[in-house]
Amino acid sequence: MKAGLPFSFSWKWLAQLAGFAGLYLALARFGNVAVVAEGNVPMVWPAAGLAVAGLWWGGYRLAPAIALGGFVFAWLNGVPAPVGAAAAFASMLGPVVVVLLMRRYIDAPRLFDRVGDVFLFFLCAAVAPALVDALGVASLCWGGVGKWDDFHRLWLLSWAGDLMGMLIAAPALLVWTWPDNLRWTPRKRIEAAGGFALLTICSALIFTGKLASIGVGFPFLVLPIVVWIAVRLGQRATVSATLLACAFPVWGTLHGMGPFAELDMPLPVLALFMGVMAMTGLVLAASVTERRQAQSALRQSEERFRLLVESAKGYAIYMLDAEGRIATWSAEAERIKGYRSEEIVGKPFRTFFTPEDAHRGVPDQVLRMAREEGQARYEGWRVRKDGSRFCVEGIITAVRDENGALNGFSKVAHDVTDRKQAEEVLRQNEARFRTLAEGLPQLVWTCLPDGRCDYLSPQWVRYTGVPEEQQLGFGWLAQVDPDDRERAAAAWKGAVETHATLDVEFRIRGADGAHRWFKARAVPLRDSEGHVVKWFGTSTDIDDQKRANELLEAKVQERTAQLQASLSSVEELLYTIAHDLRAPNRHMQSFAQLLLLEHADRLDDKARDYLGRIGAAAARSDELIRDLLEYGRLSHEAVALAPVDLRQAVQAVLRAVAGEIQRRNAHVQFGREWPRVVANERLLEQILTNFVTNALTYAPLDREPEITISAESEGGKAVLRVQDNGIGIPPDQIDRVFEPFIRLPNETHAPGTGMGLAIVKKAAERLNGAVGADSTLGKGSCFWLELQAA
Amino acid sequence: MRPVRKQTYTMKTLLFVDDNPNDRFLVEMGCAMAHVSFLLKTVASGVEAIRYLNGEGEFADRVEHPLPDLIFLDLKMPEMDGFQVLRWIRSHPATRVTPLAVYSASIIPEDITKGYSDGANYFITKPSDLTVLIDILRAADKCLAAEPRNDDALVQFSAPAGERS
Repeated sequence: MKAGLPFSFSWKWLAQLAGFAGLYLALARFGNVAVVAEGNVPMVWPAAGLAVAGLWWGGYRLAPAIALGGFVFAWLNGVPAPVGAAAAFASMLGPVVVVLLMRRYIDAPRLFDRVGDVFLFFLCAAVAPALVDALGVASLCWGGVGKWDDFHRLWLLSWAGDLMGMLIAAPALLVWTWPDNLRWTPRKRIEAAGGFALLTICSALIFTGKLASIGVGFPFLVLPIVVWIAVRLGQRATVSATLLACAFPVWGTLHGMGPFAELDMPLPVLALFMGVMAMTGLVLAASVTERRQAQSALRQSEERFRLLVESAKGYAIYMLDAEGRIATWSAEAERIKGYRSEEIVGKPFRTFFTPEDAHRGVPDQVLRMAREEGQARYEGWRVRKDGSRFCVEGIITAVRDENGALNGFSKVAHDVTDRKQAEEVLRQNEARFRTLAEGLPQLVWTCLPDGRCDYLSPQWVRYTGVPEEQQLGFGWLAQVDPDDRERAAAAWKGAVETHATLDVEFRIRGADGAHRWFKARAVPLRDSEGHVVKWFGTSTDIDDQKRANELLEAKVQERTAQLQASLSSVEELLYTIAHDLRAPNRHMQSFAQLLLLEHADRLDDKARDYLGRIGAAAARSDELIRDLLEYGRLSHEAVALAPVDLRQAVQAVLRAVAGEIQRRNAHVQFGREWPRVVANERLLEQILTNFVTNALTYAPLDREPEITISAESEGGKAVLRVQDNGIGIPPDQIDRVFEPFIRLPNETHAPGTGMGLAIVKKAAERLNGAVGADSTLGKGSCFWLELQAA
Repeated sequence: MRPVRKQTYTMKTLLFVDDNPNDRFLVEMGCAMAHVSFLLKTVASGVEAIRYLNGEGEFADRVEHPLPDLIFLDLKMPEMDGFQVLRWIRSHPATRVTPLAVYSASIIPEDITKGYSDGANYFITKPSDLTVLIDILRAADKCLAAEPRNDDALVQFSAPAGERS
């Protein structure tokens, strides 16, 4: 506890001063009882010990209390005030100087744990009072309390009193303020009780009892007991025993008992006896403490080392002796190498080496290197007990004693098999990548995350004819066609910044000076945290493809133009048919009629029949042309599709053919469902008209036609059916009815071109639908049309 | 060209434009058989039709070649087709509103649509049957005779306007 400002005023301080002064005065009074009459100089001055202990703990700010206590003591003893003040100052100055020196030279929180500290304490306690007491005695003599003739004796006595007080009282007070360094077991307590009992009995007998008169040698009997306590029972017991061992001779001597009194020995002899005893006790206790601490430190250090060795997973740490034999072993070494401690300790270090290495003398080389250079690093394959091999990386260090003699070697070996294997896998992967990269027809390259190229496959180098090192980084851009360079660089920059797959086409200048098109693709390789660690890219020569595409494109355009030309010529043809080809038929028909009308009287029946046939043939021809025209136009005319109400379409068709229905006395029935369909009204009605007129045409003459028109929708499709009770279609013909110019015989001899169902099929196709027929010969047919439901 | 009837100043005139002599002949015959009361004037091409309507050359005499009250116009003709003639007629002040029937063999929907959108009033498909032709000419006569003009008679022979393609 260091003092703050010693003289800063506070009530607490004042109280401490008063208390300490009281304590000092009390001890001084007690000490004074033990004053030997001569010269009023106390033989032991325990108050000096109290002062030292107090200043050590409480700091210099308690110093005034010592002066105060000393002054009051002197006053109580009748010493004149000025003399008392000087003596009091001296008795304050002594401990202050002692503590000053102690603080300066003893650097330890526990003062008496080290032998060196104990001696330093003695030195401090001896030197300072020697000087200060000279001052004190001088002041006594000057004040007339002492005599100048007696100065040196008084000084000696005063010094001895102070020294003894400090040596005996200060350690006792200080040691008891901090925890004991001994662990008190019951055995120790019994031992302590025995020790103190023996000490008390011996002291009592020697210094006060019968034995006292026998001889001068007996006081030294006490010493072995103090030594015993000091060695065995720690500091507290030691200082207490010293205190006890001093109390008896002082008391005895003062009462004229004991060897010191009877032999009338000079008082310093008693002081010397006590000093030796106190010193012996303290030194011994410190020595034991020191030794115990050293042992404890060693134990801790060894424990730390053991923990270190055992916890270093993957590291075999052990010692070799100077000849290279295993001296120590560890659990981790056992785990790595497979040997148990008892199996391997004493065996030569070369046991771990592969036979090849052992044969080549590698173990000796390693040891020699460690011996000569102090340390050897090595890496290599070793053999476990079970014969399996593993890779180690290690350091072997020569261990020498302070004289430089070789004690052995420390060895730290790390199992790096996993790393080695990982490196091997990595190397294989790298080799695999290279093989792949160099085997591909593409130019392969890799780049760093920032976009700088770090590898170009030999194909690239061969194609460009420029060494790889010139093209790494961004050097490759120089080989890109100047027209594409900016675009390629921008695409690459964009990919690198966004971590997106690169896909860009550009031309690269080849070694032959030709610029060929390449398609560059690159993907980023990411680590487990998603950071890009590498880019892998390929550049594929697409020049031929590109040129072929251009050629193809040109060809397609050419063909399209040709096709369009032929289409427009077809349209032109159809236009001509529509306008011109029908005219001759029309005229034939008209003029045949005109002939009949205007010249009927000049014609006989045969001629009229012929004219009728000419007209009919012309009409048939015109009908055929109209159907062909319709069929042709259906292939390429634009057809607008829209939702159509099926019921309305059916009604419109039935209205158109109402006359024929009536003429044939046909019955028409309807289904219930009329879905809306996607169609073109005109084409739909054309198809329906065909279906209905076919049903009428192919009805046998001997029965009334029955027609059922129904529709249903399912799964986005709508199907319309027209069922008749007609003559039916022969099974071998049913697939042909939708072909152009196919006509089946019928009983009505109704005119037809054979184009009707062909037109129907084409129209259905234009409606994105389908048509078909099911038929039973003699029973009837069912024509159906499937369309998209609206 | 030959007048079927002696012209009178009150007679209405139908101008028939067709390059086919048979069609022209049949129409003339039809008119005779139908006993129509209008004056039929025929020209053999679009170019001639325009010259007629402009009163150029031999058509300068408006007494002999009066402006028509109804025009029958064929579509497919050399030099200038019916559509071109139709556009000319509709852009010409004197004939801008003259009733006009496209009279063609075509049954192609595009032709019908185009005919109407270019300004034709009727689209009549040339009939194969002579009796139908006579009916058409009678309807035309009826239309021309009606005062004010009445379309109904001709409309029934005309393809519906707005025919879908």
